[in-house]
Amino acid sequence: MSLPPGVRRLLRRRDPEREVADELSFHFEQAVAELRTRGLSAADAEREAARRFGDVVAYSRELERLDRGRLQAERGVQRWEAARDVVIHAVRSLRRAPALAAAVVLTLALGLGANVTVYGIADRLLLSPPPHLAEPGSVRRIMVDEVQPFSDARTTGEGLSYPDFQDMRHASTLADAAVWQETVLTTGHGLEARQLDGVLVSGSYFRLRGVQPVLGRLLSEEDNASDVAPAAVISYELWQREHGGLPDALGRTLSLGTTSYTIVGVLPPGFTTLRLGAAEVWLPVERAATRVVLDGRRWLALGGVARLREGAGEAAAAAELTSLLRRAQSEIELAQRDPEVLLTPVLQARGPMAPPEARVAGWLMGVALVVLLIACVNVTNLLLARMVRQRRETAVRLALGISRARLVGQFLVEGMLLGLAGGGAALLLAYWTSSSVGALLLPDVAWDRLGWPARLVPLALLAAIATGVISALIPAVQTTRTARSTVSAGLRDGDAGNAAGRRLRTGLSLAQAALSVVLLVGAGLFVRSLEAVRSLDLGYRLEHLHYVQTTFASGSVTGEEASRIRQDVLERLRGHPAVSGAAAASTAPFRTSMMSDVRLPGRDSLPRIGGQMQRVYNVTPEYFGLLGMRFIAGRPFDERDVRAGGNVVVVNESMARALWPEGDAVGACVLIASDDCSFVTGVVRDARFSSIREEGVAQYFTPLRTHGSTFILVRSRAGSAGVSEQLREAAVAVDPRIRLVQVTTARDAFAPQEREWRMGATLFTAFGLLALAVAALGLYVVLAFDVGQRTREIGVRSALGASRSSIVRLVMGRAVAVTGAGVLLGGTAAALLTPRLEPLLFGVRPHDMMTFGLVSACLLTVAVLAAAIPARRAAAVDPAVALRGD
Amino acid sequence: MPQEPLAIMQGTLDMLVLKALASEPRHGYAVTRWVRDTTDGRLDIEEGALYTALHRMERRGWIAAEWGVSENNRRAKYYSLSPEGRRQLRAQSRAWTEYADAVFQVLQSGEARA
Repeated sequence: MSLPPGVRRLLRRRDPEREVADELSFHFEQAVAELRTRGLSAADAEREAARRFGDVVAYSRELERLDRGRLQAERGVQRWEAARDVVIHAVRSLRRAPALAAAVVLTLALGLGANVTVYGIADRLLLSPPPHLAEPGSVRRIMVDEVQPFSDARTTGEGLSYPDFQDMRHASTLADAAVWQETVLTTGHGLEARQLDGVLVSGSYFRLRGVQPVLGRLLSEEDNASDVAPAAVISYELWQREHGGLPDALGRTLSLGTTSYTIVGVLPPGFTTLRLGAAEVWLPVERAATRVVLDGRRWLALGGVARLREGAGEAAAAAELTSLLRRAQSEIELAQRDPEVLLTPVLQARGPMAPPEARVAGWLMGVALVVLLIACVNVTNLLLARMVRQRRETAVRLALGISRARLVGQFLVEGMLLGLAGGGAALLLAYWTSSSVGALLLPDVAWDRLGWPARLVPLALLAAIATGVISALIPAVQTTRTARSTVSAGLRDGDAGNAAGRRLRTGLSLAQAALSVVLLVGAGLFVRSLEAVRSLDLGYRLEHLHYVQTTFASGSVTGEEASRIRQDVLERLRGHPAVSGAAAASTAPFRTSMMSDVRLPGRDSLPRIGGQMQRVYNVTPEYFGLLGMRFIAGRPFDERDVRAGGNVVVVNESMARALWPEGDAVGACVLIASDDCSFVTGVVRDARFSSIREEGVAQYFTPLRTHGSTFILVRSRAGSAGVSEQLREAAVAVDPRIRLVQVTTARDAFAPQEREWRMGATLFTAFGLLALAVAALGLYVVLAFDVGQRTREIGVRSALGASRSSIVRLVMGRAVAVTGAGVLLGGTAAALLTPRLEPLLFGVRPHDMMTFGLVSACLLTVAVLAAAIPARRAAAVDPAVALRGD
Repeated sequence: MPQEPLAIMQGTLDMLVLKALASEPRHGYAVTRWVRDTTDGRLDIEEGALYTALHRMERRGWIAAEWGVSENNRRAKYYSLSPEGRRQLRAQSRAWTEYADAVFQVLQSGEARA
């Protein structure tokens, strides 16, 4: 027995009470009728039927209850099936336009991917506590805010001295306190020597972090006692790499510096310093640090961290630590320095010592959002174009009685699916790029140990769905509205095109162009900054310059022997075929610098030049020639001067101008740490040795007397490969007592100087080009679509005698007008925003005309290119075909 | 004359109703009649209980219901077995037969000893 589906659906909607009543009344009619055929009276028949049935009221109620349950279950299934149908329909409808779906997914993947990447990094820097830190909420960094000795300004320093720590550690407001010193440890000897990142920690360090070892034990207070065997804890990564992850690593010795340490434990994987850096070896500070570090109250070499006692306020703890710190200082020191303890967030980037890269990361979050916005606009535009193309289908479906809400829902589900697909692709993209972008942004952070922030996944997918739905919202409402108001018009043809939709699409293109301009201007300013940094005249040449540092196992040579061996190394390297020149100096560019006061005979005090103390460089005579420094007056000192007693000095231009304004510096007498004259042999141009922002600082150069811990500077011949390794081998071969030779390039030493701009330039440019590509695609779609829509109009124009070139101009003109307006809008926005970028720029003004001009030209060019194909298609419209219509 | 009616054993109601529908779809009244006719009225089952079984099994998906037109041209609710209902009928009647066999065997052996 089967009924047509329509009838069945109708019946399913009936309410249970009526159905049961109908069913039972049929039953009784039949029963009574049959009983009467057996000769019962009407009354008897009814009585007998009722007796056979039982309690009619109770059974009816039970039957209704059962039916209601059944209907409810059926409705649930129906609802689920309806949802499934909507999704299937959406998938089918997207599959019919694969190119569009791909474009949308790609756009979303790029826009969302940029965001996931940047937010992942920001999350790591600013939100997630360092790994393996128990109850991070109660942990604070200890910093000291005080007046700096040479600058008179108050600044915050992250360094504590070991005696300071001893004073503070038992503060009543603290549950625990610990200090650490990050250092580089040498292991092995000669050519096999290598360096490991190490951390010297107080016995409380691991207890404070609340970390458990994966093997053995961690360091405690006892390991800092002087009468136990020196112990070391190694990272999980080192354990895997060098001990194959085998338990017999415990008990092995590590020879570091002059001491042998026994490995007693292995840290869990992914353990980093509190500054998120990688470290391989952890040693007890009292055993591994020098006496100076442990005893010197002004030796601010240690990082401090505290865990607040439960219930103790941060302010109270800071006040107690301040009073403990001040108690140990003399009246004079207190008056001079006025120190105050600050308890700051344990995340470096949240505290006062945030690296500038963290600031750039903040900007990048804004930039990534703009990229997402552009992507959103683009998706909206693409969907609008498609939905207008589907207008006929929409009109048919509306005419068939499908509700508008259901159609809007359909479009939104499509948006959701697209968003989800885009989000998935974005997560893949972010997963692949996060650690390289992170490494570019903050190379000191151990991204590989921190792992990928998986907790962002649900958030990212949610954002992806939201993006998809938001992008689909306008098109959905727009299409169903117009399609409904003109169902018949929609069914005919759409060249009357909806003006509102066209205005909307134009507006969106304009917004995209404007946003691209903002990003590209930012990119341009960073690129120009980077260029300015790269082409900066440092006062010397960095190219092919290497630093060679030689160290000995301590105690193996006397100071004089070391000095002599270093001189031998210098001579050996100077004679090396790959080397064009060599010199020795107390410091190397962008390494360290020393400050020292000078006096002039007959003058009490000297003006502070450039607001800073003079910087002193002890150098061999070849230094000036080797670096390529230029003399303004006089000459460099030479071997004869040095042999004749060496009381000679070279000063820089700023110092000469400040001390001898009449220009009579050469031959003048300077008193350097003694009452004997050093005579100025020459004046050299200012050089930037410490920072690229170093300007007007007084520098002077005196002959290098002993080769203490010096740098040997070597200029290699252009085109010689593997120079660093050659230099290292040559230097190690000079004497067996040499423990370690490090060769670095001046470029590497300089790299941190340009990092901020390289990073800004790279990421802004990447994002800017991304935005531009997306915007160009958007403009192309809008124009192509418009040309398609206006075929008839264009046909009329050419039938009326419009030339092909005038039709090309029509399309091009529109592209240029839209983009031009976008450039104007974006340029204005950029001009308002860029002054806030100023502290991040170098050698370029925030309203750099060249950048703004180039970006505008670039955008207009792209607009013309994007318009080229639609314009050609418009010009090729055959009026006869167009006017015939379809 | 009909004998004294037997009390209906639990769990057999469903099986009887399924059996009633096994040969053809029937409406509720036809089911009650079939049960009465095939048992010669020996099972004292309230017809309301049969209806309850019908609706319960409809909810479980063992039988399907449709409104149709009866022999005398009246609207009636027809029930038919679903594939699941057919499976249930097979399984339950097999279990019932085995049970009855076992009980019968026990009773037989008792008679033999006596």
